[in-house]
Amino acid sequence: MPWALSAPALLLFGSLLLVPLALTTVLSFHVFSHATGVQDDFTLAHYAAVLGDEYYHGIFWRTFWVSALTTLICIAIGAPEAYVLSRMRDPWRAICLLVVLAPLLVSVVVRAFGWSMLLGPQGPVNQALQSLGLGPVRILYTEAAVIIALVHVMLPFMVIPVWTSLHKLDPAVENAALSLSAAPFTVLRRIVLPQVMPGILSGSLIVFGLSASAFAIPGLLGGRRLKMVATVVYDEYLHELNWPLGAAVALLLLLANLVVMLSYNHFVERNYKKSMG
Amino acid sequence: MSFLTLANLTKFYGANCVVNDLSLRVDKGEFVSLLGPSGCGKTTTLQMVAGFAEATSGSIVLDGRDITHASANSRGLGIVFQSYALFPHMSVFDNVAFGLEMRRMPLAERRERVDEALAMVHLEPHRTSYPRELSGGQRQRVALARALVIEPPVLLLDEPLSNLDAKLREEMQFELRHIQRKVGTTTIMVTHDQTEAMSISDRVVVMQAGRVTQIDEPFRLYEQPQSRFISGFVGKANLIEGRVADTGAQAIISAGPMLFEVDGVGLLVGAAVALSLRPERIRFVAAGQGRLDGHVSARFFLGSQWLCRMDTDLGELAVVCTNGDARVPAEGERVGLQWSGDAMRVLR
Repeated sequence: MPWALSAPALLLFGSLLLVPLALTTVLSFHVFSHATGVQDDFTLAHYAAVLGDEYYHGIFWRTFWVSALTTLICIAIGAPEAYVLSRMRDPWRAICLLVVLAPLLVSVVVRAFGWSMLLGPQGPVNQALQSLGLGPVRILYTEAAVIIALVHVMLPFMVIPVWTSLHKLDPAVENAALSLSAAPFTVLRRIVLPQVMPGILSGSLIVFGLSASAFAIPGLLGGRRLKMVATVVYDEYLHELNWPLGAAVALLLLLANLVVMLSYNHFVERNYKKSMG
Repeated sequence: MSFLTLANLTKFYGANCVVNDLSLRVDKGEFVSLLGPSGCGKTTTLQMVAGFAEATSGSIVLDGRDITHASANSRGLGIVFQSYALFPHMSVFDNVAFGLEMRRMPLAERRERVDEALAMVHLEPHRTSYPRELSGGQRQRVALARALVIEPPVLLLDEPLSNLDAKLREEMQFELRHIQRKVGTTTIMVTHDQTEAMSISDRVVVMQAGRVTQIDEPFRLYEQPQSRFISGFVGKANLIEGRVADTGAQAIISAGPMLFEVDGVGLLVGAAVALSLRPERIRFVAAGQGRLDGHVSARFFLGSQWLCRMDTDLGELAVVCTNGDARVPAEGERVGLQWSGDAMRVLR
């Protein structure tokens, strides 16, 4: 019976994820030539090309640090935000939650163009900086623009898991710490934070994973020269028409993402597993 | 001068008066219980003492220091919460050590004190366990050790035993009292369980709808309840409705076809009163030999006692007798009921 119940999900998972993934894997081993296109022979040349080329190393490294920094900023903003939200009373809580979720309601392309207007050379941000005598500053088409926009989009994915784990907290526990002479900030750091670590962990995994494979925001706000892995895959497929190389890059991104997420999960679990059960 | 003084303490939530003009003096080393049904304001009172709720008016003075508006983390009181509120991510040792750590006690001394506290509640073998690995009773004892290790001037217990099963609760009652006597900490306990309040307290404060209705030692509270509410809330009681027929050295109360002579001061002739009569003060005698006769309408065996419901001219009366002491009449049997005059209390 449980198998029958999960059949629709299995069907969806199998036909829409596993099959394309398998096809992509096979594709990435095919020989490609610019004159004749994809050949029937197999080769490891594409992987060798990516792994041996500093150009690709740079793009992978940039993708990694941009995603990692986005995750860190999301933790720094999202965790306190979730705490404040959980302490609010209705109707303010409902209103603020809607504000947090708002980015998800607007199309990613529209949002990205909004950011590019805001951060552009003549945009309000630069005008404000100039009036303070700090500008003009180049933000658009740099990593900074990509990170700002990514943080904006990813924030709900951090706030919601943290908020959920805050819900499980017994409010008396904070009072207990207060009664033992802990200062309010100490209560946050020593009592609340460790208990919401599972929420922060799952939030980080979602944010990192989505950031590392983000395409629209790096594509629109990073510009043509500032490449991230997802935009390189796009270029290989649609501009170079070298599908096998694009597939190899995509699979390496998947692999790198998995390695980073699993080792992060392992690291955090080792430190919190004993106490959080 | 009492050690902890609550004077005219009042708490409003909006227009809702939760605690109304509560005054209480607690001596050093005393164990006082706040007893009442849920919503009577006992927990709010405790929260005001703890500093988690701000008093609307009135004052709280601890050992000569006015702490009415002091922050919760500057009061230094030990608190055991109903949910225990242990830190789930810390070991038993770290839970108990937390308060000492906040007081910046050196590690070596801290270890010593925590070990002493854990020994007191018999939890030494569990010092490295986490709260979720412990049973309810063990968690309760960790909470107690955590509150006592800081040597607080006052220990506050918020329904500390309500989450334990009946047998364990009784065990913990005695252990709690034993530890409190040994350490000598002034203690205030909030409870809705009258047996719990009576068995371990020096004094019981009965609260009803935000007001104190009686403050007394458990024995006096039971023997001399001052209102119908208390006589019904503290133990079981038969209430016999009547009127004051005459006053004098002894008041005469008429109830149904009978007249009773009882102690009573300040009664007005003709006033409606109730007589409280504890079920265990009534004895069975042969029919016609007692104050009145009655039929046993039902009887229940409670283990150490029998509970009989009697149909009498005064209405239904409950009688409790100890198992093995006397012959218990069968259902439907007609017997006499006897009790001494001082077993009755007049309630206005």
